Amino acid sequence: MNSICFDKVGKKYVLGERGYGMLRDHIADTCRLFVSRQKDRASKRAFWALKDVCFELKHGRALGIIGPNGAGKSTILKLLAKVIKPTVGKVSIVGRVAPLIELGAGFHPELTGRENVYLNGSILGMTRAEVNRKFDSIVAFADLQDFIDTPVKRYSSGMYARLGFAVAAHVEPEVLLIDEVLSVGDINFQQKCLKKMNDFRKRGCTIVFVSHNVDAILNLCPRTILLKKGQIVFDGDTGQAINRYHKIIAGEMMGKMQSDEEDNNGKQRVNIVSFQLTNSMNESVSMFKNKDKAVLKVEYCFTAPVANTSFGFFVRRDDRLLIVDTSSVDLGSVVERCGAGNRATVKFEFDVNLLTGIYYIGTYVRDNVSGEYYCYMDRLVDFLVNDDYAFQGVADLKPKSEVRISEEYLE
Amino acid sequence: MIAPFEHRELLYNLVEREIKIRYKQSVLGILWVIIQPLFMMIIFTVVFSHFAKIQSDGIPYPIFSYCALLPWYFFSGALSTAVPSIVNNADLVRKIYFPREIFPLASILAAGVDFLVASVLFALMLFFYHIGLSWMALWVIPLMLIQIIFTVALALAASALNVRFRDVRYVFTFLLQIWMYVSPVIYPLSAVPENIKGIYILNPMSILIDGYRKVLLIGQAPNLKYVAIATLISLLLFIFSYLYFKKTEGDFADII
Repeated sequence: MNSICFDKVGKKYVLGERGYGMLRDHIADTCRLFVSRQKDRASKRAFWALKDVCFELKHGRALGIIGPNGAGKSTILKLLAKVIKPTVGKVSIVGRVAPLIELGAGFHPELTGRENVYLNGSILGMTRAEVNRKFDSIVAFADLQDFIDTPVKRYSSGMYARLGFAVAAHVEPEVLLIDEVLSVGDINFQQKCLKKMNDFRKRGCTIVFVSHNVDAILNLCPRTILLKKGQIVFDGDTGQAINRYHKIIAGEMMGKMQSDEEDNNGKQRVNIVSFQLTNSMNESVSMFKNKDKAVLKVEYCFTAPVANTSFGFFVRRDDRLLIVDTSSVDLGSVVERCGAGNRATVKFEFDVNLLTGIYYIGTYVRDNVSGEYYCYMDRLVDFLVNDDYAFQGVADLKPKSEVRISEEYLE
Repeated sequence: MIAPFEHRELLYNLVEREIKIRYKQSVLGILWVIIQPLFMMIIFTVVFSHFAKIQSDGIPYPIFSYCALLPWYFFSGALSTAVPSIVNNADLVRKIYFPREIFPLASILAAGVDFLVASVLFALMLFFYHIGLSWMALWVIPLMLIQIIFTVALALAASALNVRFRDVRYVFTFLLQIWMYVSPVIYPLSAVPENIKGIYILNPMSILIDGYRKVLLIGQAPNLKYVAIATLISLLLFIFSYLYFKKTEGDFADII
């Protein structure tokens, strides 16, 4: 049974139009319209936040939505929450929907935590009896027992968000909409939220999860939709969706880098012309197993001479944890001088001794003696590692274990 | 109008919120509900009864004016909070869906609670002036029902319009001030010249205030022809407003 169905959905906004405004302006505009006889004001431009979006989600499944900023992710959630109507197409949802869109939206600062729990509970569709029953559990989840009778205007933003999530997490919805909630609270609370969401999924709740935190999506959703400029560019396996997402991001960064170069022409002496990440069989990939070898080829172009050239590269995990940072000089290839117009192709090769997760590679070019940087690309290319180990962490240290149980019983 | 009933718990909670936050950190709290009409009554009595010598159909002027001020404050209090209610809850409107008419309805109900509290003073005044209620007093129920329909009708249209044009709330603040003078709050309906009465009674509040006085203070039935006019105007306005509200409701989140 389908829980959610988007049928050729489009949402149009008119840019430049005053959404609300002064009656005076409206009257003035109307008069101007009569005088100039222009039907359209020049400032009016149609903008499709979503265009021709079709997807279905079966009951009890979890769907991730990713995409660059302005791709239309939040618009989809708002349509699902029935807060806005599609301009064209049809959105249908079966079951009680609980939006976790910006937590604590219904809180009133003057009311106490207790009063806000009841108010927010009813906003999310809970009955008073239901809130009564779950009240202790909500307060315990938010860990706010001592502050529950304090007005929430005295809460810290973390406390505020915790209480918001705690209420929403107790709604028992059939469809749960989550928008970037994991960015609040400390690590412990984030873990708690993730666990709660996993519980929801196990209970058969349909979940739509929008986030920039690809790890969280990977954790919760087997299927992910990738949006770009209001359209679905990929719908399927989360790993592949994340890969393509990072390619889009990298593409945008390459574009940005080139425009940056134009800005400070002359300073930038080295440009990255192309790059390719392959496995040892020379196939272009972005998903590796832990025993694989990865090869990154980068082609640089020099617009000005650089002495003592050192080509650096580093690997970081998605959360920026540095795994390795090394350079061609460190690895024994010394280049004394590169002249203007020279091109250099550099090959970096390394063993992927990493555990499941998302990683990325960056590169830079610098003068090894003066230490001056001529080119710095933080996130050149992303790759995923997917292995079947039960280990947690970053690196595969090839651990071994031996357990010996003594037969003798020691007093 | 079934939706608000389904969401009655939410409606109840929003009313509770509105009343609670109004008197948080205030010493006199709910007493303010009585203080406002009480002082207006005293001022009106001094100015209009003692200085200007306005006739009051033989009824003691204090209770004559309070009998009008009480429903009038319900009407103006309800509208002045209901008109900006959707805009004031913009955060909720942008994030969560439930029938939007809940907001103006909650404001009107909260004003209704104030009205009931302030009515206690009216009961005391009836006792003080030895005015006994007759069976005619039961007319208050249908009259109040008409007033509520009229208030809801105005609140729905104006609160929806206020989402697009923020001027509406200012217009209403101003309008309500004038409105009190064109309704028989200070003076009796009998003081209105016959030649403009035809227009005067198109204001349902005129008919209702006159009705309250007749059924409570004099023990007469209200003018049935007038009541029929007020009912008709209120119902027509209600239908129009409700349809307008429902038609624009879907765009609130986009333009708020």
